[in-house]
Amino acid sequence: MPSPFLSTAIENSTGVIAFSLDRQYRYTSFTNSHYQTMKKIWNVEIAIGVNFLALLEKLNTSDYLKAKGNFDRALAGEHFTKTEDYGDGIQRLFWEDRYDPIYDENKNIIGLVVIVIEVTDRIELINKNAISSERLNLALNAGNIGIWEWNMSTNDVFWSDEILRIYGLDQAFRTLTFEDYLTYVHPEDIDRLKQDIDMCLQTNGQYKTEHRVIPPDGIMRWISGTGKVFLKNGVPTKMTGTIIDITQQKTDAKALLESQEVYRTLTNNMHDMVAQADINGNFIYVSPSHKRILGFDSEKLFGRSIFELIHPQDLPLVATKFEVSIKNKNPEKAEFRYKNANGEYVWIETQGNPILNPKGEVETIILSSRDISERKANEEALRHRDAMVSALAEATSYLAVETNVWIGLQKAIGVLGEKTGADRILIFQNDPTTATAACTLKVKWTSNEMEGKFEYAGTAQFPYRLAPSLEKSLSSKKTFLSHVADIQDDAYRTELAALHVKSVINVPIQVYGQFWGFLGVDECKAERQITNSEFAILKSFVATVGTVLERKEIERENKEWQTRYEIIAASSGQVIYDYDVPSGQIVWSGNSKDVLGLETGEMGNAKEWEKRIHAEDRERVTAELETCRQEGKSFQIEYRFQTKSSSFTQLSDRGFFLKDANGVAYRMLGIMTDISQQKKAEFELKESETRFRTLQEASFGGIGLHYQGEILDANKGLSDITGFSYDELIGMNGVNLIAPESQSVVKEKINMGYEKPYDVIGIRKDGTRYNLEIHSRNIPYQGKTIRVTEFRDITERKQNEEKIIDQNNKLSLFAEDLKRKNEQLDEFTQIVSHNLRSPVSNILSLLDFYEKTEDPAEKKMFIKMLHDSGTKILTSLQELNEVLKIKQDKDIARQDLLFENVLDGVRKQLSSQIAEAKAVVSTDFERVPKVKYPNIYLESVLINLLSNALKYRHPDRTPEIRLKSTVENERVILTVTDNGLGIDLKRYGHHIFKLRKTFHKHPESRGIGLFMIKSQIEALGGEITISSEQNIGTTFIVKF
Amino acid sequence: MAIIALVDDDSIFQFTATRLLESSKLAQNILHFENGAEALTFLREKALQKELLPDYLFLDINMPFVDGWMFLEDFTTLKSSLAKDISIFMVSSSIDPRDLNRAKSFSEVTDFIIKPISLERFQELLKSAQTIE
Repeated sequence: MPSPFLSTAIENSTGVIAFSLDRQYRYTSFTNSHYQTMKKIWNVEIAIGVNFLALLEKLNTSDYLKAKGNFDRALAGEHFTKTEDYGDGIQRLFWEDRYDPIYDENKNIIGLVVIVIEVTDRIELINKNAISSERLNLALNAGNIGIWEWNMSTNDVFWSDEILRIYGLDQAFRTLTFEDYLTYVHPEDIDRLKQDIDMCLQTNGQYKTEHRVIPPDGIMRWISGTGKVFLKNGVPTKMTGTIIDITQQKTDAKALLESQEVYRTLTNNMHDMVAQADINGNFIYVSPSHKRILGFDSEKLFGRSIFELIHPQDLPLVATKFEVSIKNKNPEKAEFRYKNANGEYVWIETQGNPILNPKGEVETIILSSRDISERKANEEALRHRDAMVSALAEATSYLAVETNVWIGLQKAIGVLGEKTGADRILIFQNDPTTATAACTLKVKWTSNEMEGKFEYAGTAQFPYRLAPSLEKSLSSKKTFLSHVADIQDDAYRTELAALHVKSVINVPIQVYGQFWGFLGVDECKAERQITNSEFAILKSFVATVGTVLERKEIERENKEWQTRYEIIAASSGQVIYDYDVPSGQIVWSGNSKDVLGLETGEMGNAKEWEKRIHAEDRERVTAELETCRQEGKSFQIEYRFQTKSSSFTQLSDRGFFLKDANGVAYRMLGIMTDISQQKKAEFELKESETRFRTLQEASFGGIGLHYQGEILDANKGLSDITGFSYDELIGMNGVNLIAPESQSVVKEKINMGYEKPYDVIGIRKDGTRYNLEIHSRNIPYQGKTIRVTEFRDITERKQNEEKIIDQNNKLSLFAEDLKRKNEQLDEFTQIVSHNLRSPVSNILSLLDFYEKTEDPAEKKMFIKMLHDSGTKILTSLQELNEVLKIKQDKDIARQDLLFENVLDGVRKQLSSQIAEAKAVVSTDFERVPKVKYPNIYLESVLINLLSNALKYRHPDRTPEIRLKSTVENERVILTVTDNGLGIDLKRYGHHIFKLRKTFHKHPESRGIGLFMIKSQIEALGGEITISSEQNIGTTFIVKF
Repeated sequence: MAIIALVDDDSIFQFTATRLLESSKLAQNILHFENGAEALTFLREKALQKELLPDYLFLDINMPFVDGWMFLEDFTTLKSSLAKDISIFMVSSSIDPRDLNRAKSFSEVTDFIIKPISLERFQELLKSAQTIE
């Protein structure tokens, strides 16, 4: 149950403070009001990400502990409200704080939101009242204290003026004795007072007593008195004391008691309705007070059922209570809605008391009722207010959690809309270019009922001139709140009416104190009066929206800055970093990968950075940095930095430290440059200077130093080669030492910093040309890049090179010839060993048989076989001879031949075979009709390929042989394709063009043709290849 | 007595060899194949009929269609399915050492013989083959 102050406070306050924290108590959002409060009270500037608790711990330990306890409760999932004081010790303020956990989509608690209302004023008011009344009393009492003194030895009594005033006595009574005084004391109290005094005298102590006195004026007074005995040598000599008139207090206490009784009586009599019902629930008596509360005359209700006018929803409850009461003979109480004479329902609380007859049975029930509408309304308001606060908490938490502001706003207004029962919530942003001329709809939420009725398409951009009253109100930072019917601007009113809007609330959103846009709430169901709490919630929410948008602006600026420095870093080839000293975190520019070969993640934090510094440099670097940090100086350090694996890069690291208000360095910004190239170049310069000096004396070639072509220095060699004197060379453009046709090449090489040797044509002073090899290197020299160029006259080398190339060509031709000859030799070996030796071995065997037999028939048979073998040897020798002839006939005369003509002759020769096979021979010689080739060879090629195709035709189909001539790379190509049996090239491919090889069990296979034409074609530098597929056909390709 | 297969396209060699084997009574039966393909077909068909498979096979290198080398390549995959171990003699008129070396690379080849083959040589070969067995 929230504190009673909250409701009032939130209604009176428009500056609700809210902030949210993550699980580590770091700010994820806060309202501007919170920011201001923190600044006002603690003089601290908070920011997103700052740890609130850590901040508080430093400021006030007890506040820290208090807050931590509350935060932890919320983080543990508790929703609660607490009133507590926080402050800096001088000023303590009272806060009514509501704590709510923030959940993510998985219902995990990821933080908390705190909504704060300052209630100091109220608390102080209460305290002030308490204090002042106490003071007043004290003052009054002080004013009423009378002092007396009784000298026992003389029996004189001194009475102070105050005592005389209290008793209403004049100065004449100043000499009143103690005994005289006692005569004024109330008879009922006199003995007690005497006893008190006697006791005091006997014990030498003191007394305190209350008694009544009736002085001469006859008005009784209540007196609180004290007394104390003073001793002299152990004997009481003096007594002194005070008296206070406490009559008023005594009277007040009595009056209060009496008034309470009166009040109770009054309330009972005036507010209650009393009725009597029978056990069936019918009125048998109705008190007149019903008229006042319900508007019914008592007679109207008499005899009717007590249940008749109860709200249907409450009826079951009341009926049950009624039955229970009768059954248990016990009183029951119920709250329910009851229809009054106007037909409206009012909330009633009724107690039913069963009345028993002498038999102990319930006879009637006395119903005493009172109107509790007001209390109910208050409860309702309280519930609504609670819902509002939790809506605000939830909406605020979305703004805190969502990284995308617009999504966060979308969700937040959704929650707000649902909880407040609004119909639409819209956020409009002013057009940044035209200031407040127009605004654009950025985020919208529509309730389920209004879904589809929202047609803002055409007017998503809303011109303020349509609603001058709206603009006036918003731009002066005032909320525009109106029923649509009351809006003065016609265009605006018409538009809203078209959108079914009944009431609007438009709250201006401030960003950086500027009018940024507005949040609009539309009520469409009915004209509605916004409650104070709703309004407070809304304003608080809008303030938070403003803060969130400010945060977004800052983020955007940061991003832009980030982008800017990324661009700078990328273009300069340097790594820029931002080092947060306390945390050790370093933000690296994204180009670290390009510059150092390390991803930003690999660069890591300060520790990892330190680890990458070369061990020999580390101590020096850290010491130097430490000095700069302490002194706040900028630094420039060179060190070796480990990039990938074990390789180091020479870095130049420049930067500076940023100090906080206390002079402590908290941030370091710097730039790293890879200077290994520069270092290398410096090293190379040294090396090349030495070399240059050496070369100058010893080199056969010329050496020149030039800057963008202009010769700075040269050696004697350069003079010797070019014919220019040293003096002529210095200052001359080196390009002029190059022949015009080579100059562009040289300029290009200079521009690209080419460092490998290359050949050009040089030109001497006398205009003669020579082959020149140039070899240059870039060298940093006194702040600029110069080139060291070596000139070498390579005329002789060029000539030798040409000779070598020539010889190489000859050699490779020779080698090729040799290779071919070797291959041929191989073939001959094969031919001789197989084709000639086997008939010879047969002859030997047969001769042996011949000698051993006597049978003349057998002898005759052996002779025939011997003859066959001899013929075979002769045929083989003839074939060999043919092939050898081909090999030798390399230079056989070529003639221009028409394919068509040669083919005609071949067709005639093969006419019988073609006719027998019923073969179709088609030709395509159109594109390349001619070839320059020996007639006899072309004829041989055609005869063999054609007869081959006829021989190996497929038995199941008409043989088709297609001949086609084409040209490729200036070589004539003849393609002969058939649809015959085809050959399994995988298996027989290596044998195709071999002598005496056949691949078909074909009677005519002789195995000579392909070997022959291959020899012929190759002898003239051509080639023949085959492609084939079994049962599909074969294609021979001849490249002439 | 053994069954001997002669695989050679040379009809005169077939004749002379047959005559020698018959006269010497070295063979129970002589099978004639004109080329590797015919021999392979026979072996595949009679793979499980041990009584019909040859004990010795004289294989010529140079033959049309499926030559000696191609026969050997197929035989290496075929032999495990045969009911009988067959000793193969490579026969050629070639005196080219490359042919000899190549023949040795086949474990299936028992020996490499250069034509002509005398009766004594036949006897010697078959005897040594039997001793090995």
